[in-house]
Amino acid sequence: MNRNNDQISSAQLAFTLAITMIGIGILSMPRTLVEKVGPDALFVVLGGIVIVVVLAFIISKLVTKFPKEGIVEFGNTLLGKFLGTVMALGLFAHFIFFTAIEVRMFGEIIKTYLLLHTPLEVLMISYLLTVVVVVRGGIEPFARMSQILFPIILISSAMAILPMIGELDFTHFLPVFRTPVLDLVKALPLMIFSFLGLELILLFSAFVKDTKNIAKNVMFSAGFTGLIYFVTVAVTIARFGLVETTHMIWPGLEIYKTIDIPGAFIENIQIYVLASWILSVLMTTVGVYYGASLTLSRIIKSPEQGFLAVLMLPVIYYLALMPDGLLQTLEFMDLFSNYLGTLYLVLVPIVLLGMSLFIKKKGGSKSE
Amino acid sequence: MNKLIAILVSLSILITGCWDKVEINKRIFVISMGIDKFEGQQFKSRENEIFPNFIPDRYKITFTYPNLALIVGDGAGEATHKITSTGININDIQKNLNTHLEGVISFDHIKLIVLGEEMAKDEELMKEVLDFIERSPEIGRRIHLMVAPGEAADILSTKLPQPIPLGLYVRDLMNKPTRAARSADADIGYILRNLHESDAAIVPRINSSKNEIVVAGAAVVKNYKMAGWLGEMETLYLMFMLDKVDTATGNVIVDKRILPILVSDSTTKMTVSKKEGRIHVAFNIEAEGSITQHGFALVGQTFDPKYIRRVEKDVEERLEKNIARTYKIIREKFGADLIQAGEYLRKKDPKVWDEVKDNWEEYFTKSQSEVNVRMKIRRVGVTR
Repeated sequence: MNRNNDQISSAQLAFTLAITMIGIGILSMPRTLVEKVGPDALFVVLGGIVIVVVLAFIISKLVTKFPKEGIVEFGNTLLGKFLGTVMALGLFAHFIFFTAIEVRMFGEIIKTYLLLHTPLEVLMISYLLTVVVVVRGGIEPFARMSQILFPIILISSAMAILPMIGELDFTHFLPVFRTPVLDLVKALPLMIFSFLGLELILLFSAFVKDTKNIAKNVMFSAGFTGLIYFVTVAVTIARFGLVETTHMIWPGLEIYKTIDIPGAFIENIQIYVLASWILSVLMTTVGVYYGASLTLSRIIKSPEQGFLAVLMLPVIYYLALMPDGLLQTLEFMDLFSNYLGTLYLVLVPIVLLGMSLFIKKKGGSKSE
Repeated sequence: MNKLIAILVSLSILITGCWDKVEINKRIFVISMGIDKFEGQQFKSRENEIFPNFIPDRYKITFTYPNLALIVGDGAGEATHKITSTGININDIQKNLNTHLEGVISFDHIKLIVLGEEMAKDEELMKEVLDFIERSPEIGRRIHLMVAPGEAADILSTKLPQPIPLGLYVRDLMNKPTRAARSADADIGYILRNLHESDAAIVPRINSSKNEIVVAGAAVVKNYKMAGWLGEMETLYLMFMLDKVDTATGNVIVDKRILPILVSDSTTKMTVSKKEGRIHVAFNIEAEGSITQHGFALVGQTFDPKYIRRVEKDVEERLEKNIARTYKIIREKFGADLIQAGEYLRKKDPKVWDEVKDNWEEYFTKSQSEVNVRMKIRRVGVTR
């Protein structure tokens, strides 16, 4: 905020959000959906997309009311100093836990697929250091990196799906709508939590030059991310069938093991997809890590966030090492998204928007 | 100066994550693996008396891996190495072999897994092996799983005429465009999926003589163990039912003359329904083909639409009868839902599926079949 270059366009904001939303959730999403609703998984995805686009609209409405301000500032305005700070501290904790989970899952997946003998701690430390380098750069390098990396990740993953098309069996989605409606509704939160990262608008909107385009771009970003999820779930279930999808921990990654391009010099395409996924999860971590350090710097009214990012590193490292193993990490992830996720992705924006409307009316000052 | 130190320190931390560095020539890329049941004499050692709770060896595993040194041109000896070992399970053997081999065993490039017949018939071992394959992050889903009559180790000992590893040879054999439909078209992904969805799958049969490999016929796997063999022709007709025929040849007799017919394209539509308390499976097959040989100097006959229609009729009748017979064998002898009729019902007719799913095996064993073949002979070669 204090540096001259801390400005991004709303299109860049859309890129940063999309790349932050796509992280570790996408790999296990087909499994969790099929476990809950069987062949109707795609309808849950569609329902989730609709809800999230509406949420994106609500959040953008809220932030456009306070141009050049982040949630810490307008939270104080709306909730009062004390409640506003509590809310901001909660948001800080939310991002810290989020980062820790991303780091741990990154370590687990790399250890399973790529570096089998490297200690988890080493994987996580070197990963965290890389993340901190980007975070210290601030919003602009992050936004530009997203802009460059997003198409690369998208195109490489999409290309890898192409050889699979002939073998997809879409009858796996039959029978349609045999799942009780209640189950479908119950599975919706699961889908919404795959869009965690969207709450970063609350902070990043302060940097956006063209405030009036935020809603449009953010909704597009959420919708596009939803489309990527939709394709991933569709392809995975069509390739593996219902039973096998539920047997795998990361079907979204395992799917690339089924590719065999005849005559190609590359034999295990999976490795290349994994590489592009690493970029994607790196950007997710950067996004939420940056969110955490930014929130803290705003709370303590520090002009710089870079040194806070470095100070936070041991905390995140410690938190990331807390779960005993993969199973407990997954449990923590569920807990995290159920409580903090609901709070900051759904409740806080809605309450704040309601309050801002209320205060405006009470004050009688009709702006715009 | 400070910056330089910072860069050096961060480099030394960031670039040294390489616990897993193994030079490529120190890797042992297993190309084919043979898994047999081990029932021989247990190795009695002094230690087994000290530790009486030891678990006896159950597997005999044979690995073949290419001689990388020879391939890059600075080595001697055989093109592929073979090593056999026994152990409690695959991981145990892998660890055992670390005391024999100087390289690191890697399954990243495995192409072929052959199961011995005895092993495939053992439900417990079969479940372990299938899980090992599914769980391993290294093993892809396009590799070929096959069952060998007798010992899998014998298959891996085959000396092929070409100096290429057996696994690659089998992959080429299975992927060529004119692949015979007599060998079951099933890779590990297909087998795992069908075992999950229908509890039954076919696994190609691999057989060898001294220096030849034959992939033809199939093993029927039901309830996670091998239930029996399907012969080459049975496999062919099953492939017709599964709509997996690319090319096939068959012979018909018209006017006492034996004519070879090349089926070049075939599509099958299966419908399953419940009629009068019984499951009714209908196959509607549309096939295209050509006559590749006819009698010498019999000009004109292959240009006669009536004659062609008679040939077509004969093909249709033969196929219909033979497919119906194969179906009968599958349901009566094996009771294995290899055609995924249950899966069809679950998807397309969930109401009926809810009625029958608890006694599905019984319903399937008593099911009826109906086969309709529509054959079109499109080409007759270059003579009329």
